[in-house]
Amino acid sequence: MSDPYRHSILPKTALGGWLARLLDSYRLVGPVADTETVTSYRRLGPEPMLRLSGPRPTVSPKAHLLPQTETLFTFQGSGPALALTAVEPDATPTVVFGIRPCDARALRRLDDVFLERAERDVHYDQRRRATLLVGLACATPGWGCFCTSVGGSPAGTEGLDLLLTDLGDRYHVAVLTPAGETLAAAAEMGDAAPDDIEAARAQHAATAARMPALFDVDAAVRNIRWDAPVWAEIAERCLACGVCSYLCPTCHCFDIQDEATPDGGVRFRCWDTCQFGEFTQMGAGHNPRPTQTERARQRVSHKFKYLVEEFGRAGCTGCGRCVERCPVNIDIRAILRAFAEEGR
Amino acid sequence: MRGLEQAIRDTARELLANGRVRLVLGYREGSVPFRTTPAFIRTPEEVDRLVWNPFCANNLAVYLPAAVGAGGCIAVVAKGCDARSIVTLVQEHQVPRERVVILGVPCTGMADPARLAGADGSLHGTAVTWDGEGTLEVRDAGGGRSVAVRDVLQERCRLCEHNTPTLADEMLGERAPAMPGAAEAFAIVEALAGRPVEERRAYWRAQVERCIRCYACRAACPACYCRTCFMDKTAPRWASKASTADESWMFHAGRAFHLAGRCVECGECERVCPMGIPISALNRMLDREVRERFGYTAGLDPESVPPLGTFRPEDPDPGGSEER
Repeated sequence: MSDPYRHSILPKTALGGWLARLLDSYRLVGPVADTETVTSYRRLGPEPMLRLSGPRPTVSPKAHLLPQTETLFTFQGSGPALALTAVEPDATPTVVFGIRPCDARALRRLDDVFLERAERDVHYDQRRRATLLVGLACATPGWGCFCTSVGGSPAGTEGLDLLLTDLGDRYHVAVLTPAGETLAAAAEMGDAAPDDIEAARAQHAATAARMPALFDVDAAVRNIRWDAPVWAEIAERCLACGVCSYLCPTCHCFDIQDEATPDGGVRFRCWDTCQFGEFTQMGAGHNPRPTQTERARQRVSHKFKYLVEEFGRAGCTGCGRCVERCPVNIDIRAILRAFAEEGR
Repeated sequence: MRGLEQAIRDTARELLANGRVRLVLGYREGSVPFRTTPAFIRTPEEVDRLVWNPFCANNLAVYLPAAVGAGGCIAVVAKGCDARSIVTLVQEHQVPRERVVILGVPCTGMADPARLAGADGSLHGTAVTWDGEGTLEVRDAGGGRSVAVRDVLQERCRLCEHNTPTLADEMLGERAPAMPGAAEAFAIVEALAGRPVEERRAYWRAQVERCIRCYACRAACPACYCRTCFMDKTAPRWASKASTADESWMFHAGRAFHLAGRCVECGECERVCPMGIPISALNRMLDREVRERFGYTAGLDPESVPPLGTFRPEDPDPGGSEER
């Protein structure tokens, strides 16, 4: 079987030097410990900060492509003298280091939304083009993880330029793209021995084996219904916070706001979520999603119905953050499994 | 304490069967063995879904105003903290006392699932069973082990001062022993308050910089029942939707002030915060102020008047001329 990519080996002792060289040419982002139990993808400095062990980070990396708050333009004056000034997005070449396969795949889903439609989102586009992804194969699934149930894998390569696999004192490095070759060239890597390649494959298989698919996602997609009683059942418990959406690597809805003084102001966009009551609140007071029931339906249907209809791919990569951090233990895996098993 | 689960079911069954309540708020099995999920029980046939174990973390009082608003009487399975929240809701006229039946559960503290994780930091595939007393049997890829609930308590529970409900219509068990950290409930306040103001400012700025404005703290808080939070008001807009550290600080500080003399330290805000922000330290700071200046502890007596809900000429005036 011929490999679609090149295999290299990076001794762990060479990791620091590689990162230091990358830092000369790129902004680096990677998993950093915020607290003992919270890990976020944060901008890295020259000092060692990475937390590469354990389950995928608490917070997804999407803020680096879709900032929580982003100024689109500023305006000065008013009336005929009104002047608009575009604010160029910060498109500094960036490497997201140690991104998990679910999160890299999630960025491809954001690409669907922001780049594949008739109108490309210029801000997202510029940042996305400037972003390279160095993945880290998951060896430790979190308790809510279900990537294998939605077509992913703990060692999936979709969207990645490199994939690292931790082999103890060294990393196996799969070089997946020409951009990945460029990044790898900055490291003191050697060719992987057959044993290393085998060890990486064995680890991938062992992790995947711990995560059997929990439901038939195609059946779930087929059976999701507008009038299913489960929406009200979820709504009853749901506290209407934004944890699920804001931790989600693919939730991308935003609000647009103007803030002005008499001299001028800014128009910015900021994360928003269908779980908040004001999300679709109209100026005149009407809300087409008046209760949490419609909002529960919206979040699940958007990911597993509307995006599937539009792009042929679900807007969920099974990272499990919503599962683990929901304050009331609403578990989207159970919701999807129930739909999948309907009528069987 | 398996007896407590049976007592909850028996009492719930009776209350539903005789029509005394239309709904029982309790806990049922969660999607994993180290979580439960809130249960809305409406018929006697459903009561056997109710469970009691060291993972009944949610403060169910948060559901009460809406449940009461929908009519009828509601029974609530209430730990010490939940009962104090109900007292506050009654005092503040959000829940008529006669419309709620408090099923008091003497609480020995909730386990923190994160503290049951294996060496790899994950709870993936972890099985947990409770012996009905004080021990959890934990089994994961690393093997099996016995863990005392007392050794893996959620911090809010370790510090709890009123784990046995101070108000109940049906007390379903004997008074529980005091929690191990009850005497240190304000240690975090002492530790922070002793530091220079600039240091404290830097500390809180670093904390709120992580805030992602998901508002889970607000959503999980039974005392945060405003129909429209000041953060969401649009006309006028008090706070920006721009997610900056300044705006997040205004939210957390504003929320803390709104909860002064009302917060019962259930700690739900901190439990649900995905970013690990030590939110309840702010509430404890103001709680200590209220206790010291007004001799008042929130959530103990439904007949008492909360100090910030009234005015007396002899009230202390810390910002006034006397102390300036």
